[in-house]
Amino acid sequence: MEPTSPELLSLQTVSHSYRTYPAVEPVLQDVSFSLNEGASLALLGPSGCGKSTLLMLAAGLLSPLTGSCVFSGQELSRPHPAIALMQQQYGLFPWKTVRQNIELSLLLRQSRVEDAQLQQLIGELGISGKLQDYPGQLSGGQQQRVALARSLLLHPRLMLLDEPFGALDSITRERLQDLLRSVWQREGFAMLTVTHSMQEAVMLGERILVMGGQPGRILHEIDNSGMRAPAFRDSRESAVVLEQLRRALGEAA
Amino acid sequence: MRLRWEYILAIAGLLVLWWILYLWLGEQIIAEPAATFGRLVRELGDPEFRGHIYASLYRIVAGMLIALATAVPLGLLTGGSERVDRWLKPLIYLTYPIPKIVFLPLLLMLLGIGDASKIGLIAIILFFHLLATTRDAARAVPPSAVSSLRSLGGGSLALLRHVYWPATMPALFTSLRIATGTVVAVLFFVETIATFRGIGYYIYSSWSVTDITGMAVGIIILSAVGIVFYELFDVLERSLCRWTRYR
Repeated sequence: MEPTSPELLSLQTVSHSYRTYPAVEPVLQDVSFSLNEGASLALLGPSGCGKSTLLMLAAGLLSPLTGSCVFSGQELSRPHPAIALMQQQYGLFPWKTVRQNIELSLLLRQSRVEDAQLQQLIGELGISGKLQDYPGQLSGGQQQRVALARSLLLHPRLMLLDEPFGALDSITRERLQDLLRSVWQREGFAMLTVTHSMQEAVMLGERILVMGGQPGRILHEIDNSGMRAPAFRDSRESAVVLEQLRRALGEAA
Repeated sequence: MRLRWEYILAIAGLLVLWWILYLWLGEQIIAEPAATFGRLVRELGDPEFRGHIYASLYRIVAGMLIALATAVPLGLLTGGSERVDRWLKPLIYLTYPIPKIVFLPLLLMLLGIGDASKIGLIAIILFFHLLATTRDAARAVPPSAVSSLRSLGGGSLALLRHVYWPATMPALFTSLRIATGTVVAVLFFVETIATFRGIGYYIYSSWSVTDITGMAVGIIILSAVGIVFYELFDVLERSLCRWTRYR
């Protein structure tokens, strides 16, 4: 039996509301889950169920109104240098070149990287020769590769992904999912992905939490531990998990 | 090169129009173009005339710098913070529609009849243009851009420097270009009151002695000042906001 890796992120009975004066709009209710070092978790649910709020809490960008959000044994009250956030859109700053976008993250984290290391990474991600371009000159897939490069250079222990490939065409989306899976398995960071795509949840989460309701809460947890296998995408196991998810979402609705 | 030819054609078209108006309305109302340009060349060699140009440029540049230095930080602060915006928005909405030109008598009493009151009025008028633009542009910054920078550990200063300031710059240059015409018009107005320096004064004094050619010379210079500032902001935007070509 494989030893269990230590717990990295833990959310305990987290509830959160947004104040839209004079009303208070509850978005999350009693959400609890944990994520171990090097593991992956996908949060799946319809729009408006509080998935992105949950990610903001895990990024230390919001504090829960009740409950606790603990990263590496410490209560999260601000962004942590070992956590990287990759967003669906606007994760890159359009007014900065690719190089400036990447260097900004290092500058703010007071980190440095050798040029050779940077060149190796962007070569691996297929964006060589794009360093002087602005994000607007790149395709959606290339932009997400840059965002991935920016996050990877920070050597995070936890990677948070908010609908990472939602805006891409299906071929590019599959390629980037495969790229992310291989980098994740090699680098060993933990990964928390928020998505409304069942297929993406199956490809990126060893555990899948199905969210629903308003305020949002966790309705089902589905084990997907076989997803590390190289040929998982076309396996019978992925089809079974997909079917399980479909049923769970149907019940949630 | 294409742009340059378009400019030359536009200038030629305006000269033809001027010539037609001169022939139609006569030299009592419209100055003769060739004589005007001859006078313009002579005047540009005269230190006193150049002094009028310098005085006008000084007032415009000083007014613009004061407006930029005050309106941009306040606009970024209001647009970037819901809390500040909640308090300042009513003040901005109440004061924005007031025609600021009516404050000239007050400014003359407060700042005297020298340059300060003239610069003050230009600055006040431009301030509200820039404040509204900067605030609106800062408010239009997507929350995901803010959370992206904050997730990287950036604080308020980093947000201003790396997100709000570059995101609002294109709108700021647009506002400056649009406001150029207003600024030149206000300059003319303030230079007709309590001064003996400036192109506005030169036009006004030429008019008072029915020197039609002198008036035309002053109008050409004032137009050139407006065009130079307009083009300057355009060039600055193209070099500082290259990314907007790929939006």
